[in-house]
Amino acid sequence: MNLRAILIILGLLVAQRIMAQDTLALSGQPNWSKGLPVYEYCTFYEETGKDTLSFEQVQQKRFIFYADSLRRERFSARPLLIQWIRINIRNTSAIDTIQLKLNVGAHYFVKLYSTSGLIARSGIYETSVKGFNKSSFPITILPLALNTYWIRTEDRQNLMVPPYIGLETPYTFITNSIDGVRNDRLLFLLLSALTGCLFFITLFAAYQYVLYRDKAFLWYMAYTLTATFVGLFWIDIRHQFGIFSSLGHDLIFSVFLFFIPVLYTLFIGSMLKLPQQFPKVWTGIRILLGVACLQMIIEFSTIRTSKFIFHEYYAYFVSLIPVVVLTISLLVLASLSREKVKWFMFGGLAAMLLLWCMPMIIFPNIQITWGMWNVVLIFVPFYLLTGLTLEAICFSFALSYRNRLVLTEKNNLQVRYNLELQQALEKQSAELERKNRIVAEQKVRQIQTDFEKKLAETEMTALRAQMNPHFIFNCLNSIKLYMLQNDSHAASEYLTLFSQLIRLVLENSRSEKITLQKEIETLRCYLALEGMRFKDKIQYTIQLMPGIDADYIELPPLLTQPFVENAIWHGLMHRSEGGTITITIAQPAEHELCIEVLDDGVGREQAAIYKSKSATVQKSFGLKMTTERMNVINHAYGIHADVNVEDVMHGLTVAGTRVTIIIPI
Amino acid sequence: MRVLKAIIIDDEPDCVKLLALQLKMYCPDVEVVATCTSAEDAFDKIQEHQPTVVFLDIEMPRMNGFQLLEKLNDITFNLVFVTAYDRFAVKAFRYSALDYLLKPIDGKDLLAAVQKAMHRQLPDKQQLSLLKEAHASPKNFPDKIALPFQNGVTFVEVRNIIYCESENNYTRFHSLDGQQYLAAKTLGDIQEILEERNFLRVHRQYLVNLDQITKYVRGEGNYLILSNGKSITVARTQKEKLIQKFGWL
Repeated sequence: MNLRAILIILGLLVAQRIMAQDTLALSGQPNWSKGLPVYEYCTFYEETGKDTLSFEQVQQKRFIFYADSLRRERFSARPLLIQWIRINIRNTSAIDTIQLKLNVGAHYFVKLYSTSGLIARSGIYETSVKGFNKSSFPITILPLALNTYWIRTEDRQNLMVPPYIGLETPYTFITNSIDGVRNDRLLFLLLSALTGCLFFITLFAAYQYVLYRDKAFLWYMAYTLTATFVGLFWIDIRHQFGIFSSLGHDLIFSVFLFFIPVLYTLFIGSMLKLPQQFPKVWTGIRILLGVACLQMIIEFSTIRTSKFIFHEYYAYFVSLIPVVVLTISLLVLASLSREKVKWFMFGGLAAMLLLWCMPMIIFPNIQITWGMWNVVLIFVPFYLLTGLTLEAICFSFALSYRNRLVLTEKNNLQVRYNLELQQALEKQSAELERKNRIVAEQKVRQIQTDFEKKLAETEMTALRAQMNPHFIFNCLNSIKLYMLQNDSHAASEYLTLFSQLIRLVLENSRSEKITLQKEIETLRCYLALEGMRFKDKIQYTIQLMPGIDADYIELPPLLTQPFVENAIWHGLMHRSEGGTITITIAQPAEHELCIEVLDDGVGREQAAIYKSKSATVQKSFGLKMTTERMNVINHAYGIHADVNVEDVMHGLTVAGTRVTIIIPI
Repeated sequence: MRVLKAIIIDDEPDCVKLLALQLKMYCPDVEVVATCTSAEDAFDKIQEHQPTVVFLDIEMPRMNGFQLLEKLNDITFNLVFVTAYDRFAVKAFRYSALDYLLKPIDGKDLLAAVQKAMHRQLPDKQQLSLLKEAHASPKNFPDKIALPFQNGVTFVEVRNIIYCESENNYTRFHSLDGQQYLAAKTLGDIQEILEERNFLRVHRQYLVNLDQITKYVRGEGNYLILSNGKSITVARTQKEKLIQKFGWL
């Protein structure tokens, strides 16, 4: 401040002093139509010392006139303002007693003294006083009396309401009050709406908690519920409904400023998983929360006892530090968080802070002409409630968004899980299919190998070793017998026949095809030898139909011999008396040769019975074997020979077997 | 020396004649009391003569050798089987440790068979059932093998044999249960029987069950470690065969 300004202030002070009268004189009960501001009759003193002064001490102090300009200023830099205002009122009427109300405006604590001492107390923080308009003290001035009043106001620097001091008649008091109520209706409406809003959000959060059992909802619910009570509290204060008991009133008023930050900190913390993300910082925040809880106790006791426990800087400045630090840290942490809902939380918090700072911007510019809006805008708790509501709404958006995120994640998870499951299934079925295929391939290969092996074996048997070794060794045995018996003629004959057969077999098995002549010779040799083995048991004839060129016709080697052997072993040999084999070779068509092997043995049925009784494996080819052999021969020579086996019937009894081999030539 | 009563059963008259002639030539102690060319006939002749030894052909029409034996119920004579050529029958004889002769019969073999028949015990039921089983299903191998020793025959499960060891004309069998059997057969005879059962003559001295090998140790002098912990040297010449069997090493 420059010198000039000081001079001006001093000048003003002097002028005020000259102009002002320090006593208000009234002649009986006044009949005003509206309240009378009485600044110019007031004198003023502000405590600037460290210790608070007693009423007696203050009476000794020098009071100065309470000029208009003074009212606009903050006199001291102290956070706690204790100001004294003195007013003298004289009743000049000799008969009329004056009854007025002294309106001292809104203050934290107000005490009214007369010369005899304290007569009344009031104030926003003063909860022991009930009443419709707490800032008005009723005063009575007897006829011809001069009453002096001292008004002690105790405020924090942050009280934003402009000071006021005036007198009201009962009439103006009531009309003012009515006007006040009229002016307040917009404020009431807005406060109610905000409170209702908060209450609704509380219910919503409670339901969400029941549904999801998430701690975040619990904190959110506590936060909105407290905010609802704060709303109700301010409605109660502002409109003086007297809803809350003195204790409830004190409780809400003392704690809300600290309790709400504690709750929203816990809520944001649990929403953004801040304790997990920033464990160290969160420890600090816990300490701040603890401090805030401590402050609630301090504040509560302050209000309960109507005395500031900590004076000076604590009350105004220090007390708010933890909450401010808490909120700013929370803002920073929210912005750093990895959670997707962080901007909702950040926005809510920032909106609240912004609204709480609004009065500082708006207050200097408020115009009285704004009417009802003026009433709303000068009411600081309105900003507070609006901030809380905005924050709550933001938080509810955050919750919805988070639910959506959770749902989306769940859906994604489901989709991913399904996909994984599907992939696993596909993989598994592919694996299964692959295995199946391998098994199937192996099976096919196995069958193929088996078949080829069998084919090879059968081919070998069919094409090479036609002569039964049993037969060969038995022949040799017989020759040996003749030699030992010194029957050299028989031995020689036997040996010659045997050599002939062996030579033929060896020759034949080396050739692809042999002439019919050779085949007939082989059969003849074979049958002769068998005949010799079993003496007179076996008779045979080989008939070659006329007109067949046996030297020209060719056929696969040793085609007939197995069938002949079969006829001997399964037909004739089962009869003790033996039998006859008749081989007939015919050419029924140009390109067809028919060889018929006929025996008069026991027949197939009987042979099968003998065979089943015997536990041995037959050395000669069975019927199945003949078919197989034919197939192999057909396959090997690329021909289509056919074998037909039938019983020869003699009346109703079986009298032998006929095998017919038809060979294309 | 007492005289052995013999019966010859063969469906071929020449064979009967030859065997009778050979017996007269090589074994004068043997008296052929009867000859038959059919099993039906033989059944009666056996009852009638109660022979000491029977020369029996397996392969006969109507009723074969096995059927005849089954019908006889009690075998009160020694058996010598005679067959021209029958690898299935031979296998069955070997498994059941019964004597057999191959046609045309060699005089020395005949003499040996007769001499054996004089001293050995009569074939027991189990031997005969093993014979029948082996002959009836030539594609399957019998689970057991009959091992002749001085006083009789033992039956050993083939898969329980770990290895066989040659001891002059005898063979020592080492079984899974820790028992040992000394069979009156050469290792060569045993090899012939067991070779197709996954046994390998890895050494002049040893015939090993390949299923019982736990380890093959290479290096200087390859050797096998068997399931009972016994280590057996592998002859250099047999190493190739071992590789063929396993496809590795």
